[in-house]
Amino acid sequence: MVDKGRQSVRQLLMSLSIALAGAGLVWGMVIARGGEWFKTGLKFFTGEGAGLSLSWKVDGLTVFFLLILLIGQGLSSLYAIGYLKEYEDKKKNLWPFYANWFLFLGSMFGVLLANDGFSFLFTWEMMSLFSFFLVLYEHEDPQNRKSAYIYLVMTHVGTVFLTAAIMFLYTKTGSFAFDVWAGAAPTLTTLQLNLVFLAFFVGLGTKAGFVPFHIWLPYAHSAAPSPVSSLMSGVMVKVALYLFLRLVWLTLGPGPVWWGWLFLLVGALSATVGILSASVQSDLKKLLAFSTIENVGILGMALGSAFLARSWKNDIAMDLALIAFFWHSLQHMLFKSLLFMGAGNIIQATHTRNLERLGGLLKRMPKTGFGALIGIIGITALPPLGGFWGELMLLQSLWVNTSILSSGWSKVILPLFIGVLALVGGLSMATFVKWFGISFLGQARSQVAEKAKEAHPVQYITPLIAGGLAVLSVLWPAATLAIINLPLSVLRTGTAVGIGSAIGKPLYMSAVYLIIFSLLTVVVVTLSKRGKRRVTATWNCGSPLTPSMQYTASGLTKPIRILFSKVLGSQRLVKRDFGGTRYSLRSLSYEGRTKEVFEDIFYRPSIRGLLWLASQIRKLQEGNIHLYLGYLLITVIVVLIIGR
Amino acid sequence: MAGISENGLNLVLFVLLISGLIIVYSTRVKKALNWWTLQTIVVSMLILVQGIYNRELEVIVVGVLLLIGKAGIIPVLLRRVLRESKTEWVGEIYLKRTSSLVVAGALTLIAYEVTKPLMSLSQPVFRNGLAVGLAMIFFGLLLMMSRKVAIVQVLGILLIDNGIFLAGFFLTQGMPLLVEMGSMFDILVGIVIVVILSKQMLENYNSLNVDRMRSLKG
Amino acid sequence: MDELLTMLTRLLMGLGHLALILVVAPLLQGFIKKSKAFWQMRQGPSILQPYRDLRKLLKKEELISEHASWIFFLTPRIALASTLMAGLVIPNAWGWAPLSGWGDLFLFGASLGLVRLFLTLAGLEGAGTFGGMGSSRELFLGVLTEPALLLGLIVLAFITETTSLQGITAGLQSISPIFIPRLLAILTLGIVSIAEMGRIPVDNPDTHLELTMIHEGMLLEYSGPSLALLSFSEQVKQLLLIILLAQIIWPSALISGNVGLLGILWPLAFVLVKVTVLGFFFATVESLFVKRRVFLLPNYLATSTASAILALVSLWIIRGQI
Repeated sequence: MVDKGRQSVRQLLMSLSIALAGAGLVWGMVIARGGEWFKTGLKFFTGEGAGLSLSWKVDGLTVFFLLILLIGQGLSSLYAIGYLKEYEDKKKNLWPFYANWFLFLGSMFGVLLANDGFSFLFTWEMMSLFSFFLVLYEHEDPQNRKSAYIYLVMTHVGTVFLTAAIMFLYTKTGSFAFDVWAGAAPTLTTLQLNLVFLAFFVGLGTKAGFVPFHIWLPYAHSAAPSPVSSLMSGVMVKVALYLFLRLVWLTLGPGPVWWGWLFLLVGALSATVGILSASVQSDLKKLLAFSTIENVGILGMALGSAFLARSWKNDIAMDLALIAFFWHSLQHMLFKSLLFMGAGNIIQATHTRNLERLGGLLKRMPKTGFGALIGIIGITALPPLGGFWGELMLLQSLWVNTSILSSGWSKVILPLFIGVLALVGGLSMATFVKWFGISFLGQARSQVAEKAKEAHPVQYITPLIAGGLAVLSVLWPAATLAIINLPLSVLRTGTAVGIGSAIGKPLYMSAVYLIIFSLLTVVVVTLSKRGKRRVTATWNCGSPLTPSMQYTASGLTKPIRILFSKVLGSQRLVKRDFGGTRYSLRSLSYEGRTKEVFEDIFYRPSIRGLLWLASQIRKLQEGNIHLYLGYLLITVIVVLIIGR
Repeated sequence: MAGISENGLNLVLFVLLISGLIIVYSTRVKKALNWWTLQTIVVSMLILVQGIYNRELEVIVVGVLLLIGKAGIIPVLLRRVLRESKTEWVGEIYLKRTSSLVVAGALTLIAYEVTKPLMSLSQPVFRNGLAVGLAMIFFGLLLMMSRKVAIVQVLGILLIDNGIFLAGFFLTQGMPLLVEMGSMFDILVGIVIVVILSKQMLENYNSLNVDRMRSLKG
Repeated sequence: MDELLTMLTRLLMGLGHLALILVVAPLLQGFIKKSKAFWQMRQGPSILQPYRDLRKLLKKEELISEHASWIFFLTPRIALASTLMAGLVIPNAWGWAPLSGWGDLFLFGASLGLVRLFLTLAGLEGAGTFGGMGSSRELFLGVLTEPALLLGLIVLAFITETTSLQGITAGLQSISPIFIPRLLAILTLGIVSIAEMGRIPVDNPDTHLELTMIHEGMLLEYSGPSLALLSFSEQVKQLLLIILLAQIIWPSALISGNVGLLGILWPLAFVLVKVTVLGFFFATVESLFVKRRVFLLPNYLATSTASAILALVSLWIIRGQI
């Protein structure tokens, strides 16, 4: 029996969330016609007191990410109206969810608007905390508790680095304001500048999910309820990337060339490792989470290309890379939200996240399936949808960067990243064919998949809206480029090249491509429509076809697992039971697994080192009162010497 | 370089480099020997074409002698030793074929890196030639270091010889002919000695495995 | 008014471009089959046989698996449309591509990628083992070929300083045919083309032995008009790859407007000769080698990636930039 009161609360609160997002968008559209302010920024709520000067600011860069946040918020809230119904049926208390939901959204808002280190850190911590609570929402499952715990630990490690950098800048300048830091950045020594950069890189990279700081991401993003996953993957990682632009690009200034290389390398590493791990996953949502790491990696590569172009004073390549970055951010938000919603629908219909138990869902959940198909075409960076056009800009920017360089080994290394992107593209196709094909096509592999029902209308309409927005952005590239122009005008200095000129041209081709492609398809379909058709059984060499004869999820990408076994740490365990004789096999069990290589080579040794250090430190605690008094004496002397 | 267009010369150099890499990569001695023969033929042809173009008789003579001496006699001698000792595999120690290829690639890059100052020369092809020559010397040393069959060590020396020859050719625009001839006969005599020595080795140890020659230490 | 006229002309020229591709594709297939028959000392089917096969299939009744969904129906149509999209960026006999602008070389690979996505999905539609097997291997091949294809084309883009295929073809005319980077790029693209065309040693187009096939495995459930469309799009893809390769080896100039009828027909004959020679070459390669095991393919395709990288390094060395 559905509780009327709770139902109306859900609808009311989520509608409020949507309404807020809509209002924000409308307000943004009205104000964005304003003109010059988004270049210089609009400050508000500036408050002084207790030695702090806090300020909040909106400029073009913020507006773009606010747009991502608001669209993401609107879509996820709409989706949540349908999704949360299940918790209601289970009589689970939803108030913690609502509270954390709004606080999480609000804190992301705050992070985007913050214009000083203090407010930034404060809202940043809030964002981490409330997303942690949301991840923990289904705390009945011990696996989820573990995931949330890993998330909490990792995000705090990141915050330590951020705090250190911010405190350092504060002691140097005596102010928290970003503007003051930007003014002071040129006065820092190279070492100081680099250290601050590295601290920011680790701190923000942890939240964004750069390899090797990514280990929390697949756990947290897959443990959270689907609307939250789509917010975290679609929006929260972008917020972290936004801060790279705000704190590194705009505040620390151009910086040495190796910053760009670092972004490019770490981005390429994240993309490859992320998609490789995704390709061997058979967990519906973990696969998507790993693919988020891949896409963050691609965004990181775009940033890297932009930073390199900036240090080499190559305006065209810089514009291309930045356009690629913003374009891809937008598209990834849409497609990843869409896919997480699709995954949510499947999970609610079948109550399993294991791909090996799904199959044949396209017939049972046709609308969810249609949305998901749009999603996989977009996310695998294939034309005619948006994922491809962003990657095109990135490839072109790498190419321009290379061809303009006069000499040096960079001319060999940079194009290799083009190869990396192609490899990632191939792998992501394998990954998403697996994700879609195994769950939606073929025969049902289990009872639960056979009994699946289409989700609540809201739950399949929302992904379709996201897909529609994505198609629209390709069909009307001029509008998308106009939006991208907002942050671009903040980030680039000097004479504007202007997106309307030659640089934007291939993006205008996106609409042409889409239209011609659709026309051709329609023509071919109409020409080949007539003719008799008969539905029969699948040919199976004459024997009856059972669901277990289909390729499994792990089987489909097995060649990839074998090829990259070193990177994935693939292991296989085969048990054969011959039952006494040598010739007839009684039973055979096969177990293949991959391990998180980074946990092994990066985290476990450092944890071991930490424990060893702790045990060494423990030796200081002998329990002897004289020793403690001795420590006291030493401390006093040291303090006196330092404070002289 | 006279007689051949720059692109053609580059192509020739590329063939030389690739044959060097294949020699490093091959696991059968016979195959390596064949590639070395091809390489030597190409080098001699380079001289011949140069000589014919400039109409210098002595250069042509050197080219022909090279062709006969290095590309004709040495392979025949070595092949005979191979047949008698029944050696088939190169005997990889320390480095397997794939890793030696990677090392060889790195050595090529180093060769290009150290010849960078020559980039300002009138024709960029000189730098290219010198780098390939250097790379060949590196390959030879690598081969001698990481293979245990005596014949492959000889092959290493031969590769080094080709490299020195190539480097000299590009550096000096035709070495003094006397030096040329001298070095060639040096090598020829060396090979004859090695052939005799390897027969001795075969009689004493019944194999060409250099690993067995431990008594060399003082 | 003038603008409208130009647009109309361009549209007509584009349609002509597509029509030419569509007409010639089965002919090339027939020719390659004939060449293979020549090496096998057989008479072989007529060169026109592929047309007859297509016509026969189009008339037949279509059987659809009970497990299949609408994607199964859509795939052949999308495959043909998307292959044609790839064809729009390939410069034709007159050195002209309808959809050209910078960056269109990426478009070529990506359009073929879309075909691959739908084909592999369709392979999983029938719920049988063979389709899945084909899909799995095809995806694996995609992972291996895509970097090589893109790197090979990128090297050519660096040589000619443009990322448009039309520009590359035009630019290659002033480059010596024995320019090393170019030779290496051709090697790369040749190897990749063999893989993309599904020919020996990567895949065997003639076999229908379940355990060895890749491309045919995915098509196993198809019959009638859908099968016709799929084999047709495969033939078109083969033609496109061979034209691309031909244009890189012997580029055609972009002709100017007023050259007369002979001037228009001559490049067409020239391109036909080029395609014929390459088709015969690939038939010969196929007759000389045997199919390789799937897990030996990484080595084979790594050769092409390596040669692309080598091409890049040699290009900068020859230009004196490293």
